[in-house]
Formats: sequence, structure tokens, C-alpha cells
Amino acid sequence: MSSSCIIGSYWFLCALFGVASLIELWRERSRQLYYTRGFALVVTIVAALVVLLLGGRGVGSSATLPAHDDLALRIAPAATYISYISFNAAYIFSLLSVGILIAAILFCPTAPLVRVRMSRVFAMQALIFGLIHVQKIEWFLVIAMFLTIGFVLSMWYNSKNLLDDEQRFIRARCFTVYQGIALLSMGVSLVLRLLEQSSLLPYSATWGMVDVVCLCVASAISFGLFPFHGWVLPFFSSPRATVFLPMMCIQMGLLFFFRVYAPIVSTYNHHSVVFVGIPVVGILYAALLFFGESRLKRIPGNLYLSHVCLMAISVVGLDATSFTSAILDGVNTVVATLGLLGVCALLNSRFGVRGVMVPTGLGSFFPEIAVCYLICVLSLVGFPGTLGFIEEEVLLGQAVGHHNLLAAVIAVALTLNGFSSFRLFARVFMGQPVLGHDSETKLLPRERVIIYAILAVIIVNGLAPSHIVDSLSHMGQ
Amino acid sequence: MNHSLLQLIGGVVFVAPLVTLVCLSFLGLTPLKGRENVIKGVVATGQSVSLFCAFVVSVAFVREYLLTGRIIPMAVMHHPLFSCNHHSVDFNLQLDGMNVWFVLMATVLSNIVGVFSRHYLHRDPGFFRFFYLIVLFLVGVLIVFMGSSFQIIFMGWEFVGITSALLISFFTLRRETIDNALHAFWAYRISDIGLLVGSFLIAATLPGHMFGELGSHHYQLPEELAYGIPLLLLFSAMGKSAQFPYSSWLPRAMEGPTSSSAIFYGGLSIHAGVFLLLRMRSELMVPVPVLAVMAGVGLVSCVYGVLLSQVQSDVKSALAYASLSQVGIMFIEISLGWHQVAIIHCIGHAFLRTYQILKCSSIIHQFVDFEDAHQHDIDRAKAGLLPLLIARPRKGRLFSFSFDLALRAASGPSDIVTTLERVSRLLQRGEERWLVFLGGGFTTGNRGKGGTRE
Repeated sequence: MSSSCIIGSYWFLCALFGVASLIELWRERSRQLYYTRGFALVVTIVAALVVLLLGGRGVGSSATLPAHDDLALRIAPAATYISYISFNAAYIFSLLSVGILIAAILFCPTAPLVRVRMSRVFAMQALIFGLIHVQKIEWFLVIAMFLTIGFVLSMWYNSKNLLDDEQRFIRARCFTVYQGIALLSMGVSLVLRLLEQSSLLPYSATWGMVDVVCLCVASAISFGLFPFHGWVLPFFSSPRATVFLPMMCIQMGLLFFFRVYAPIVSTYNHHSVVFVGIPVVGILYAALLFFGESRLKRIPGNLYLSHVCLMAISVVGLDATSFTSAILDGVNTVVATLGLLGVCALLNSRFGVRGVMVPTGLGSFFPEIAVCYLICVLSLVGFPGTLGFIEEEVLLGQAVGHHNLLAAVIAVALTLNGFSSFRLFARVFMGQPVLGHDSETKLLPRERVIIYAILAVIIVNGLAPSHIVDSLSHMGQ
Repeated sequence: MNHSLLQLIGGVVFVAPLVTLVCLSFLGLTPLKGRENVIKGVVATGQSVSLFCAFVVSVAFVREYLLTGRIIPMAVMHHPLFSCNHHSVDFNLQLDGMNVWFVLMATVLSNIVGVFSRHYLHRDPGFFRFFYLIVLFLVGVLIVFMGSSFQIIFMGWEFVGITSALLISFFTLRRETIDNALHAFWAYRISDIGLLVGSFLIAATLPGHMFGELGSHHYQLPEELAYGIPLLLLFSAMGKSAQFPYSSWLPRAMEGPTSSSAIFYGGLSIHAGVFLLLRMRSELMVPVPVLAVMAGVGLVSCVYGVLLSQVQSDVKSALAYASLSQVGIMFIEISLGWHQVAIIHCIGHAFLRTYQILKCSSIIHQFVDFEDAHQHDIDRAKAGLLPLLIARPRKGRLFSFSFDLALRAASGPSDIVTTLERVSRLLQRGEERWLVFLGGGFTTGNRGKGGTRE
């Protein structure tokens, strides 16, 4: 199959979700909301089939998607900070994307599903497919700006009618400030590039540096790198946030990381002290921040912060192993965070938002959720037999080659995270049950299916990782 | 016996519990997990097969030793995990002259504990969970003992840690069990740093390194890591074997079911640190100062264990401290290079201690009139040599000193946890203030009282 056909499949996916968004918008207007989950599932399953049948054709080759952008070379180096994504990368990101959407749809309880407005979710998903395969950095920035605006609007929409609660208002404001800075940075970079292309602004090293700094800031905010992480925890633990919005945000962050931030780091490798130093401080900071955590909904956010720093450390190695390690970390983070967000959503929908200072004994009611939580956090702290262990092996192997102290810092952070995670596990799922239990709180089959699927992905890839590592190695190279 | 057949049998030693674990995982998804007979059957089959195969291999090794005077390591499993550019990790297991005895010990003890637990936990709601964790532990401990490199040992090391914590908190309805499980897990996690970093440093220094014949060669580490790596491994072994200053978690770990306490803290888990040091001593050139530190740790732990065991008010805690002092002696033996003595001591101690801990609950029944085992200890001490060696006033001072030590041990590493929690709360407060600043300067007065609601 020719590469243009594969490109065509991505355009088809964008169009599919765009049309679905419009249909859903119309359904919303006409208040026919009864079949929302069914419609969303059908659309997503069609997308998954397209990805599997067409996108999978290019897997195994190390060829890149065709570059339409020879202009990038003319105004180098300022315009080259976007990596050409390989077939394998596009395939894995697309699979993750549709997988997340299916999981989120099935996790979502009926009433909030109506509230989250699938039209918005479909529109954002269309933009994310655009981000996966777009080649010109200008288009990448434009799409990312639209997505960012979408996230901000969603955050405010979710806080609508709740503005009497200061906490939620503060969260929304904080998120807006951070994303506003990211938007501004993307805007400046875009304007500089357009001016350069139209010859209104001759290329100079100063403008090039401004461009790089803007892109770095935009990337760091997008994926929540320390010290631009302030929005992550409030956003992930926002009361109305379902699995959809945080996971879409993570997807955009990862795409920014691999397509913009990683190439910048590899270009400016003479500043590697800065590029390593900041994440090293960040990983310890995140581990310490998590240590005293007592709020269930903050667990995924805290662990995500640590992993973002791990990924940022990984790419500084500047070789194929580094990129493989970072991508592996990204995949593990997405899958395990999805599981954790799912657990939080399930418990939240049944018992409301709760802190976990005292043991609540939920494990006796929900053994499956307890196992899912445990395996997801174990994967995020690199426990053997999980996908996280493979990531830890590659990462630490590379860190030892880089500097022994780096390996020690990573080990300390993973240790602290491991303890914090287990302590929260003990507090949530062990102890004397303090909540009532009736038949309505039982897990539904659709929720069970997703939990088992997430566990299977984590454990199967942890026990037999050669397939995923080989596939990701191609991407790294 | 045919070598390849022996390799196959050696592989079954590990595969049998692994298959049992998979079967239990599937059983857990069905209503059969509530059927004790099914669980008992599956677990007993797996454990028995593993024991039989371990026995066959050990007999073959004895025969080989008698015929040739040496035992050549035998690879029993080779599973390439992944290869990423120039970095590859293989899951290799082997049996050799040293680990075969540990493997045999592990399979025998797991069978004994399995048989004991079938009656001990009859009709307990956590019957399935207990056996699942015991089999998971057996898999982990076999990886530790059969692993052909320090990286593989680390994999099993983590399994042992998590199963230990989950079994300590087995009776989840009690708050104390959860706190004690966290205490033990904290000690495990901290000490795991040593093996994690150490194993990677060894893998980077000696690529493709696999354990060889016992005492046949000692790898010389690079000068800059000659002290670092052995110290890291020693640090890790101290944590797992509850040596001073990590000792406080061991008596707390006795909160779990008696049978799990027996296999973990009497039999296998407590000796994993000893095994790691034996591996280190047989593979690496360990500098004399590190050996001195090892001996010092062993000596301090031994004295500490003896003193504290005298002032414990329950049998299991007294046995825990007695184990600690014996393991301290093993550390000294290893540092002196008495490997065979340490192995024999370790295996003998594991069986004796497992027996004693399993007998604990019966002892309490037997001494109904004075359940306080401390009274029994004093009576026994009066009849022994102690009164002759130590004069009465000194004995009193020693007792009060030991009592002080025991009180301090009760708040061991939790001080560190409290400090880290304070730092964390400080950082969280900073984050919240920053959030409030960005959010428009509102106050955050409506945060849930006591953190019970967000």
C-alpha cells in the first residue's frame, strides 16, 4: 500500500470525527441524547478498524511519512523543530488514541456522558489525528492552538454553574493562565515563521532563539514539564473532568513532546545540562509532592508529572535508545494513567470525591478495581512483569551510561513514588469499610471489560515486551 | 541423567508455580475462587511438582559432585526479554552448587506452609487471596534464588517485597496491620534502591555477566565502583534481612497470618539478603573495608536482636528478633569468607524458625494461663546460663536498656516518613498558594477538614 493511501486514511479519520462531531451537535440541539454512547462507540470502532487495517500496513518499515515541507530546510534551523513521524509512531499514537476513546466512552457513566458533549470530544479527536500526521510545523501549531482553545473552553464549560465554588473557579483561572501563555508562545512562533516565509523578516540568530524559546515554553506547558506543571494537578482532579479531557490533554502533550521538544533537545545538545537539570529537579519535586498526597483524584496527575520528567531526561541521551525509552515511557504513562483515571472515575461516580486520610476498605467491594489500581501504579513505578519495568530497564540502562548519579536520582524518585502509591492503595482499598454497599454500586460489564483490557495491555507487554520494544526501536532510529 | 532432561526438570521447578499462578489468575475471574478444594488442589499440585523437580535436580547435583568433585552451573531457562539497540535484557535462570539448596529449601518450606495454611485459613474470606500471594511469593523467591544475574535477582526481589507487604496487611479490617505493612514496605523500598542501582552498574560494567561456578572466579570492578557497588548490594541486603538499622519492621511484619510470617520472616524472605551477599562474595572482588562494614552490621544486628528479643511481650516478636540476630551472625560468616558455613547455617535456621513460628499459635494455646510469652522467657533465662554470666544488678540495667531500645525501635523509619510528609505538605501548600495567586487571589478556606473530603 502506498504511503499516500496511509496518509489518506488519516485524513479520513479526521473527516470521520469531524462529521461525527457535527452530527452529535445536531443531536444535542434536538435533545435526542439517548443513543449517545452507542453512536460514539460505532464511530470510534470504525476509526479503530481504519487504523488497524490501513495504518498497520506501514508498520515495521523505518521509512518516514513523505515530507511535503521542503520550506523547513530553507529557513533552518528555526523551522525544523518538528520531527518527521514514522509509520510506526503514527500507528502507535493512533492506536492509543482510539483505544483511549473507546475506554473513556465505556468508563463514562450515562449522566456525565451527556454532559461532556461528545461533539466537543469528537472535534478534539479529529484535531489530534491531524496533529499525529501533519508535516508542516505551521499547521502543527495552528491545530495545537485550536486544541488548546478547546481545552480552555471545556474547562470553563465544566466549571459552569459551579462558579460559586472558589476552588473550581481558581482551577479554571489557573488552567487558562497556563494555556494562555502556551497559546501566546505558539502564536509568536507562528508569526515569526510566517514573517520569515513571506520575507518580511530576514532570518537572524536572535529571532531563531526567540522562536526556540517560545516552542520550548509551549511544549513544556503542553506536557506539563516542571516548572510549567501548575495546571496539571488541578486539571486532572477537577470534579467535572471525566477520563476524556485529561487523556486528550496527555495525547496533545505527548505529540508536542515527540514532535517539537525532542528535536529541539537534540539540536541544542550543547545545553544538555539545562535539559537534564530541569527534569531531574522536577522528578524529585514531583516525588516529594506526591509523598504527602491524600486525595485520590490527584494520584494520576502526580504520577504523570514524574513520568513527564523521566521522558524529558530520556531524550537527552540523543540516541535511538533514548528516544525508544521516551516513547516506551509515553506509552506506559498513557495506558497506566488511563487505568488510574478510570478507577478514579468509577469510584467518583459511586461515592463522590473523597480524600483518603483513613482506610475506606473499598477493596472488599471492588476487588477488580483494587487490582487495576495496584497494577497501574506498579507499572508507573517500574514493577517487574509490567510494561513500566521494561521502560525502567531501558531508561536506567541508558541513565547509567550517561551518569551514575542520574540513575540514583531516578531510582530514588521511583522508590518514593512506589511507597506513596502503595500507601494510597492501602488507604483506599484496605481497612474497615466505611461506606455503604448496595447492588447499584457493582461494577458494570462494560467497565469490567475496559479494566481487564488495560490490565492485559500492561501485563502482556511486560511479560513479552520484545514486540513493542522492537516496534518502538524502529521509531527511535 | 541426560543433561537436557535435567535442564528440563530444573526449568519445571520454576514453571510449575508459574503455571499455578496463571491458573489461579483465571480461577479468580470465576466463581470457583470461592471453592477451597479447587484452590487447594491447584496450589498443592504446583508446589508438589516444583518440590519433586527440585529434589531430583539436587540428587543429580550431589551425584555429579561425588563423581567429578565439582558442580557446573546449569542454565534451566533462557527467555530473551527484549533487545533495544545495544541494550538487551534476557530472563535467564540457572541452577548451580549454591542456589540448588536454597531452591530445595524454598520448595520444601512452601509445601509445608501450604499444607499448614489449608487448615489454618479454612473458611477464611481471604483464602484465595492468601494462596495467590503465597504462590506469587514462591515465584518471586525462585527468581531470586535461580536468577543468573543481579538484574534478574532484582525482579524477584520486588515480587518478594510487594507480596510481603500485602500479606502483612492480610487482615485488612484492622488499622494496625495496614500501618505495619506500610512500615515494612517503606523499609523494602528504601533498600531496593541499592539493588536497583547496583544491578544496573554491574550490568554496565560487566556486560552479559552471568553467575559462574561457586568460587571459580571473582570479577574485579573498576576502581571508581569497587566500593560503591558492594556497598549498594550490602545496603539492599540489610533492608531485606532486617539488619540494623532496618530492624524495626521485622516484628511489625508479624501482623500477618502465622503461616505467611513463618515462610517470610522465618524461612525465605529474611534470608534473601544472605543469599544476595553470598552471590556478591562469590562473583565480585569485595574490598576489605566493605567486608568490615558487613561484619560490623552483622555484629551490631546480632547484639541488638539478642537484647530486644529479651524484652518482647509476644512470642512472634521475640522470634523475629532472634531471627535477626542469627542473620547477623550469617553476615559475619559471609564477611569472613565462610560461605559453606553460612549456607548450612542459613538453611538450618530457616527450617528451625519456620517450625517455631508455625508452632506459635499452639504455644499460646498450651500456655493459656500466661499468654504473655515474656514471662516464659524470663523463667527459661533463670534456668539457663545467663544468671551465671551476668550479675543481677547488671542484668536489670541491661533489661532497662533493652527496653529503651525497643521503645525507640517502635518508631523507626517512620520519623523519616513524617519528615518527608512535612516537606511534601509544604510543597503542596506552595502549589496551592501559587494556584490561588494565578486564580485571582481568592482564599482557599473551603478545603475539607482533615482531608476527608476534597
